[in-house]
Amino acid sequence: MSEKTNSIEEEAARWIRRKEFGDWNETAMRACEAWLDQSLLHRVAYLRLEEGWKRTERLAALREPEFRRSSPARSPRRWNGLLRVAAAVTVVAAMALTAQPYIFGASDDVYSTPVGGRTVLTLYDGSHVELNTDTVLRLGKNRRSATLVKGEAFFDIKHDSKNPFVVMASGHRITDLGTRFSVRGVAPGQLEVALMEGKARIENTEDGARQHTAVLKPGDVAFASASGLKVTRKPVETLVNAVSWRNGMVVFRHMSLADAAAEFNRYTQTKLVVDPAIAHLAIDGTFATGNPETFARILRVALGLKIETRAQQIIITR
Amino acid sequence: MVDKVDSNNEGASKRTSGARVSTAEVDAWFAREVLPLEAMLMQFLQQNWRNASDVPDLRQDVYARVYQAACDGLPERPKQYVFATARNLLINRVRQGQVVPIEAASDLEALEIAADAPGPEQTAIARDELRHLQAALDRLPPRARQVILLRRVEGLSRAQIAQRMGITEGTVSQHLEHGIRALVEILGGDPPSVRRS
Repeated sequence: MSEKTNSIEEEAARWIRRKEFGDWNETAMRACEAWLDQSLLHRVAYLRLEEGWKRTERLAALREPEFRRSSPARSPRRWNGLLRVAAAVTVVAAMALTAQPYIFGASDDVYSTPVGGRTVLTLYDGSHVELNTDTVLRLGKNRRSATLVKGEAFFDIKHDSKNPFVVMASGHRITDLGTRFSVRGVAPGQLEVALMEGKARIENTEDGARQHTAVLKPGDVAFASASGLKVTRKPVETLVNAVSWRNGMVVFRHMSLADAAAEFNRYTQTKLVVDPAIAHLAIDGTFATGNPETFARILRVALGLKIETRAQQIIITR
Repeated sequence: MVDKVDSNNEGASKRTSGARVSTAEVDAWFAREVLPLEAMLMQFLQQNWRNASDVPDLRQDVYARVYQAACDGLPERPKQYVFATARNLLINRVRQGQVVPIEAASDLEALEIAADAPGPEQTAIARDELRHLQAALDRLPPRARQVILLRRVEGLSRAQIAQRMGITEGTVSQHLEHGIRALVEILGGDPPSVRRS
C-alpha cells in the first residue's frame, strides 16, 4: 500500500472511530463532509471501512451464548439441558430420552451425527463433548466414560481426579487428567489424539498386545494403532485450527489440494475429485465445511482450474 | 497511485459535469453492489498484477473510478462494470510504462471467469456471516479484537473499554481504528489466499 493510500485510510478510520465513540458534533460532521468531498479516493475509502464496520453489528448475536454451560443446581430439567443441538445438525439418539435424570441413567446412550452433521453434548458437570461429521459416540451411563465408535469428537472435560473421564477408541484408552483434546478415528484400528490443554494418558487395551502408553501434553498429537504409538509435537495453534470444525470451518495451512479435498469430503455427500496432476497445489485459507461448491468456485476463480459438476461429484482439473 | 481519478482514454470512467445521481444514492449503490465484490476484485488484481503491494492502491483506484462513473448514472451491470474498470486500469498502467507487465493472456480469461462466477463471497457471506466475522476476528491482533468485541458484543463505551482493559482511551481509539482497517482488509480478502505452490 502506498503512503498516500495508507494515510487516506487512516483518516477514514479516524472519522469512523469518532462517530462510533460519540466524539461527534456539528463541527466534526462538517469537517468530515468536507474531507469526503475533497476527493473520491477519500469517499470510497470511507465507504469501504464504514460498510465493513457495519457488518460487525452482527457480532451482537454473540451476546446469547450458543449453549449454556449448565450448572446442575440451576437447571432443574437436566434432560433438556443435556443436549444443546447446534443448528442444522441432526442427532440420532438410539435410546429414547426419558425424564429420569441422566446421572442415574440406566444404560449407555448412543449419539451420532450424519455426514455434514455436528452436535454438542453438555454434561451435568459442565463438560462438553462435540461430535464432528459422521460420528458415533456411546456415552457411558456414569457420564464419565465414552466410546468413540467412529468419526471424531472434541472433549472439554471438567477434571475430577477421583473419577477421571475415560475415552475408549480403536483399542485404546485415553484418560483425562484435566484437559481439552480431540480424538479421531483415522482408519479402522487407527486413531489420532490431539491435546490442546492439560494432560491425558493414552494406552492400548487389547489383551496380549505389547503395552504402549504415553502421557500427552499440550501440542502433542498421538497416532495410535495396534502396532504402536507415535507422538509428535505441533504448535497448539495448528491443533486448534484442526478442530475448527467446532465452528463449522476448516482451516488449511499449506495443505495440498488432494488433502484439502479429502478434508472437505468428510462433510458432504457430494465429493470433490482432484486430478492427480494438480493434487500438489498448496491451499491456504479458512472455509465453511459442507460447502464444496463454494470451495470449487474459489479454485476456479483464483487458480483458474476447471470445475465439472456431476451427480454427487465435483471434478477438478487443470 | 495515480493522482487524478479521471483517465482520458477509457470507457470505464466517464467525466462528470454536474452529478446527476445524488451522493446518498451513489453511496448506497456503492455499498450494496460494489463493495461486496471486493474478494473477487482482490483476487483478480492479485492474479493479474505481479507487485502485490500495489494491489490495495489499484483497488482504491478502481473504486474511485466506478464511484465517479456512477455519479453520472448507475451502471446496470455493476459486476461487469467493476471488472471492466479494473481491466482497463491495469492495461493503462502497462501502457503508461508504470512498472510490471500483466501476466500474459491470463487477464481476459480471468476477467470472464470472475465476472461470470456466481459470487462465492456473497453466498458464503450470506450463509455464514457470523462465522465469517469470527474467523476474521481471530486473525486480528488480540487487543484490537478485544476492543471490537467489547464494543460490539458488550456495547461498552470507550471509557468502559479503557477501564476494562487497563489502557488509556487514546489507546482504545488506536486499537479500534487499526482493528477496523485490518478487519475490512481480511473480510475483503476472504475467502482468503488460495495460492499456487
